Amino acid sequence: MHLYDVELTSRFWLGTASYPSPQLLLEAVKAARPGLVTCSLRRQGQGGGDFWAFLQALGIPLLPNTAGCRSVDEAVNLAFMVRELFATHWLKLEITGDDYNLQPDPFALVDATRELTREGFQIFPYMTSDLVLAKKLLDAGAQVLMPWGAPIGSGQGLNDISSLRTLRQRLPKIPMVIDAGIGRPSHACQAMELGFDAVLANTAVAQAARPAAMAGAMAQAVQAGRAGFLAGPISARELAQASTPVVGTPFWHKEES
Amino acid sequence: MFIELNGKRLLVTGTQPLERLLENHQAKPPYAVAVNGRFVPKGQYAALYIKEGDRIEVLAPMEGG
Repeated sequence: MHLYDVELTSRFWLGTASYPSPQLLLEAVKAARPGLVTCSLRRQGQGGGDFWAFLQALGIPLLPNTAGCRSVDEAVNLAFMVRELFATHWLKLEITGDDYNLQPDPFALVDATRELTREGFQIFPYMTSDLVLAKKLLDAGAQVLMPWGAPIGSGQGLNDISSLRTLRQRLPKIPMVIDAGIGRPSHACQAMELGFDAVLANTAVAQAARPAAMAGAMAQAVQAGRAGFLAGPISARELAQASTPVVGTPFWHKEES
Repeated sequence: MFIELNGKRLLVTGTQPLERLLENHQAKPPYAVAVNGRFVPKGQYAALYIKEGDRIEVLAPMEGG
């Protein structure tokens, strides 16, 4: 897939946080071969060691985030730090509006997207699934959207399918990535069947009993879901419709009514 | 004078540029710096002098989702 003029080799994207060990993260990356990996910035001396060397060795595109920001000002300043450090214009813009469910702040998101786009950033806004917010973010300069499936780390899957379906139908040409809330491969598959362009998962893989196995399963589910979407699924219907032709069936009889 | 470095109160003697403070506290590249919530580009480390009460953040690449 093509985003901001970069070709990504997979529609499954992987977060790098909260794995039991760096080794398990590496195994997960190898199993999934994600299109990109996400990363972040924290105070130096908080552990993490040679994470930079680790990331560079992967040779996979990076999408740094602004996790933890609570205002436009914080996000903008962190964005500049991210750009200097990671040497990329890509930014997963996260601005938290509520500490309880870590819900993105839609108003701050639009303002920060506008400001950062002017500064040459290519913004991937982490957003709720609101259609009007999506349109405002596009007006502000975002060319990719990252609606949530459910709150971060909740593993609930897609908890507002109707809104997501509306987003997809109203903005058919905009690359949209389901970010957050994915718990199982079936959730990832469902997102792709709905026509979303990619899926980003972190906790579902990092906290699985076997992260590498789960990473591989997620990548396969994303592929299957995409293939299913492109194949044009039938619509669900209320009543049965025989799949085997009934004309010429032996012992055929019609009940008299 | 006292400053704050990554959330910790720190006593520094005399005026000094940000560059020297970072060296003295063994900031390990790669990192990016903000002073009082404002991003400071690398090119300004030598010219920016630390003031009493400055809050300095030295951030490094970390895992993220």
